[in-house]
Amino acid sequence: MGYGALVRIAQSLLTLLAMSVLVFVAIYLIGNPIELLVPPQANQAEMARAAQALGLDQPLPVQYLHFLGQALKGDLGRSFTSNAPALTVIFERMPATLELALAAALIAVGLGIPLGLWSAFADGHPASRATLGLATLGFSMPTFWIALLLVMVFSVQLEWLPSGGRDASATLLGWRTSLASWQGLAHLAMPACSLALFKLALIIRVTYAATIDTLRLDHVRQARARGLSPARILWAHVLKNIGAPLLNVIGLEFGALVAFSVVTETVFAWPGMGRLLIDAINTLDRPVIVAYLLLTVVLFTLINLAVDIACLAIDPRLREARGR
Amino acid sequence: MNDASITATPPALQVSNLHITIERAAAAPLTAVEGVSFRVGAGEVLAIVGESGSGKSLTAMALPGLHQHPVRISHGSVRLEGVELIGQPESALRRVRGSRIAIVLQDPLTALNPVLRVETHLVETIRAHRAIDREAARSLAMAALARAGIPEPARRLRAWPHELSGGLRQRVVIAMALVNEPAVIVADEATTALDVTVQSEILREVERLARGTRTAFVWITHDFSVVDRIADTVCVMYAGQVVEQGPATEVLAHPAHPYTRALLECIPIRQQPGHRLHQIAGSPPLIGAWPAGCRFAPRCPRAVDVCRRDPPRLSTPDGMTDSHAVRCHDPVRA
Repeated sequence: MGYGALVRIAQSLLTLLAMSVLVFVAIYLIGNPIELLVPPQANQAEMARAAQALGLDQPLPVQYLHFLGQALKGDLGRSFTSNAPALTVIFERMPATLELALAAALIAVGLGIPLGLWSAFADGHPASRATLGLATLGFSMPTFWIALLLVMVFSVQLEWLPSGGRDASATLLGWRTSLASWQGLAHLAMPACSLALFKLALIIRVTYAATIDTLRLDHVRQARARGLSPARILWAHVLKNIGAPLLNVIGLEFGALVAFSVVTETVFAWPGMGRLLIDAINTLDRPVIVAYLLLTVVLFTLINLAVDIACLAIDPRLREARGR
Repeated sequence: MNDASITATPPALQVSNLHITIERAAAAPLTAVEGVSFRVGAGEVLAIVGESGSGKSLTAMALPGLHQHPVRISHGSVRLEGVELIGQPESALRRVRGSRIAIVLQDPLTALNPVLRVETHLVETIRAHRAIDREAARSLAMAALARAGIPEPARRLRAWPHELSGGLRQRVVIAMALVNEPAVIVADEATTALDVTVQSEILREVERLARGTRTAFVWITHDFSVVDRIADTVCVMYAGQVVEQGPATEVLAHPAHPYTRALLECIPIRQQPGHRLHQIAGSPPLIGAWPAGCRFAPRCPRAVDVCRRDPPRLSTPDGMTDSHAVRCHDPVRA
């Protein structure tokens, strides 16, 4: 396991390196940020000075190597627009996004797994079919549309919930979060629900499919033949077996929630990382974009590592295969 | 079986006139098993023999009520130690499953949950039926492994299923069946997936257990050599019906139904060397497409007009032992 983990970490670092090259080159191709950074009336000399100050006059490989050298020291550059360190800019926005992603993941997992299991156990029942049908509908509908629909109903017509923004005035364990106050939760409810809906639908379908397959297996029949209670069969002979595939899906989807909640954050004016990215792309704020994408890679790598380790704990056959 | 003392206490398992149907959405249900009756006393081994599709596995699963929609028991009685099981609620059936009647499935490779240790399987089976603590259950589990002929039970208890050979896994499944000392163990093709030497060891173990612990076995198989080894009584099934039943020695020595006879002739070891091995022409009918008259008639070398017209009844013809019955208009005389 120790060796396997080392290999995994080395792989992750290589992925990170490859990603940094890709991101850097791609951003370079998009355009020269100087034209957006200097006032429109600036002359050639001023533009050259600005480019020199930001290091943009160097050839691409030199720029990249400089960036890499700084990155190894933990410095991903300063935002062109705010002049604050890119990482600081991102980390300021991270709690809002994490909070939103966490709330959405809790809704999706907390409802999705029980509903998926239940649909499989009650397979063929009209309510089970209805659940699966709604789940299919759930991931057929675009997120932004769901979001607008929620705003229409709960903010405009019923006037129950605020249509956007975040209220993180209350603190919980020293963290300013919207989870600690009713006002905060009211602001969080709609973005979290609209973000969760797609994931919820996905988790219901995945859980249902895995459970249906597992229920047909001999060891479940054998468990019934041994007179085990339905609860015991559900926990030890179904959930444990579908745990590994389910964790893989949940892990990746959580990563996607954190990294790509752009649309939802935009619709609800949620001050998270997603909106930061959009702003950075609009102003060609290269250090922020690069730092953001690299952080996303780190996030996915860490989640994958965590899922792998969790799966090793669940399924002894995997331990065997890795140990050799 | 003819012992007078057995008639006083009810037999371990008594099945009478069992009918199993398969429900269909927009059509009349199919009858898959029709009028099966047998009894097994404590310490006896009953073999149910038949090809796939004969209804033998449906019968096995239906005994502890493990059949699932669309399969249904439409008629008949299953008495376990004198208590009727048919019509009992699921909760009552759950109490007898694994404690009074246990099942061993065909494939030992899939009968154990890969993510649970051997110990967990045994302990959960014990604790589903008895209010004892984990430690006490563990020592019972170890004893059951030893009884099923597993060497080093303490070490095997900690093993994961994938670490064991097929033979050992089937012994674990048998230990799981034994662990609550049931009255009846139903084994559905329990040795079919194993190689011949392992099969032989397991059968020896079953024989020992039946005699030693007075457990009744219902052994479902397609293999007459298994019947020869362990069975006291035998039911031969064909197309959902019992076509011949009686004491194993009697049926093996004097098979009265042409189907039984044909099956016996298919066993290589019973044939003279140099002779061509027999095979039964044609294939068994599909469920619901039963021929009129005798269901074996289309494949029977002895079939005459009456066979194709009138369904024969299960009866004991003159000159045969009382407990030996056959479903044939013209049984083979030895």
